[in-house]
Amino acid sequence: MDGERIAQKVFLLAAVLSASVTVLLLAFMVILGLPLFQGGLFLEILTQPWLPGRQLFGVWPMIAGTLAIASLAVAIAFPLSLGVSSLIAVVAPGRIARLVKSAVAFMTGIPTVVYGFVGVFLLVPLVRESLSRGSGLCVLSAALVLGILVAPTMILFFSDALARVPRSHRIAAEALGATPAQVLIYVLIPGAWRGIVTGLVLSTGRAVGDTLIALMLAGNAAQVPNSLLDSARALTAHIALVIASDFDSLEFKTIFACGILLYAFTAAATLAVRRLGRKRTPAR
Amino acid sequence: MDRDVKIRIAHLCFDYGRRRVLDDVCAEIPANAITAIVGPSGQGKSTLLTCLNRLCDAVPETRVSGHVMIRFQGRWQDILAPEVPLHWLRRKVGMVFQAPNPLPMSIFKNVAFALKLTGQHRRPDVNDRVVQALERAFLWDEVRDRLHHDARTLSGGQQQRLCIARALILEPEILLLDEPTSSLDSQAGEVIESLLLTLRKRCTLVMVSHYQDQVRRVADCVLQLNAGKLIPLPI
Repeated sequence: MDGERIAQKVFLLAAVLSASVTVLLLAFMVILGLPLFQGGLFLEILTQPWLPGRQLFGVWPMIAGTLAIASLAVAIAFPLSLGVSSLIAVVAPGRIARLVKSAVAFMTGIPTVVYGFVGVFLLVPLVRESLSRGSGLCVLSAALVLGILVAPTMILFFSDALARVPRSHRIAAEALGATPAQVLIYVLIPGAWRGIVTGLVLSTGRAVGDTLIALMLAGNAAQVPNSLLDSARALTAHIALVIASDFDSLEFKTIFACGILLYAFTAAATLAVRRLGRKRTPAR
Repeated sequence: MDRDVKIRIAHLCFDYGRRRVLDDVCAEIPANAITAIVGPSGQGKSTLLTCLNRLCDAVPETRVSGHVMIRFQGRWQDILAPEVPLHWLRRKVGMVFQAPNPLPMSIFKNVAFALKLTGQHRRPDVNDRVVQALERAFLWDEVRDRLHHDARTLSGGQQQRLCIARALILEPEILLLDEPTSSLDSQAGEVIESLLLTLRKRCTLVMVSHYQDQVRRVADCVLQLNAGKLIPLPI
């Protein structure tokens, strides 16, 4: 009995600690970034360009860089993931599906730096030579690798959602003469759409939050990218770069603005997923 | 033979893994009649039914051999032949399951779904045919005011008649029914039974049933399945 009570206390402590870390992180960023909130400076930082020579420390180029890289990565990963998860659920169930699924699960465990490494040595030269502009370190290179990085998360979510569609729905459609493609389009995808949206939102969060790929492959120029072949800097990469070079200046303070932005985005994504989850329950 | 034969099953064997479920089944099923398949549980009654629309194909590790000849518009066709397009076959041979399985959509969309699969989208035609199918399935009067409600809000018996309407909208030549009343109360079951008797005019019905009295009430012909073999019994 006593042992049980101790265990309960330990687990409670662990839960409180990990939950409070989330809150403390936000508090930490807001307190350290406090000077930014005075006199409308925060808004200026969000909208201005990054020109340290002219004392302009805006992070707008990094916001644009993050949006460009992350949205392109998700746009690449989404059709790829939907295709692979459809293969697992419909086209080749059984042994091939299990094989593909375990390969995908394995991919989630590969360290990000390995993807970045492969990107630097294989993809970047290819982009440089075939599209012949600049160094090859650009939005496109980063988004391609980031797309492949987030695809396994999407695939696992999508294929779980497709597999959860009741078998009776599938059989009802098959008995009416639905082809496998029709079963997928009219029954499985509509039945799994909440899971598909959840996977999409979480993967977008992952694409926005990833640091290393953008740092290694996007070129890190603090400019708003005008084309896929332009160099760009993501918010996460900006934090990593500034933290490595400076301390306690306005320039340094801007990374708290970046942090708060990333935090707000992740929180919004999590809340969106929760809302979806809540809606699902009464519908059943 | 006083009636036309619709389905001719010859030397049909079905293996599930290493287990032989159907063993050299030979039978003839008359057209425009209700044929009941009876027998103890686990003897492959439902398997036999799914061999008639090849829904059994979807189950992994199974093997089918023999012939199932069906006369479609006067022409015999071996539906076990690999070149038979499954979607074509299943539009000609409809099926209703033990538990009603409406799709998670409105009553109207459930019935129209089958037409959507065949690429028929013209609204007035679709509307007319949905109404006709619901009338034939004795459901129209109960749902005419709530066609756009979720089909899952219907009672069990209504859901089953909805599934029958959904199968009928494609004008199948054969309708397979796998214990269609076993999940319903007796009153809902009676409605389905009288519905089946009217459907005999337009198609051939093959029904798996557990209930002796039901078989006596509706079946024109009985096939008894025992240890994987079929024995025809005149009623």
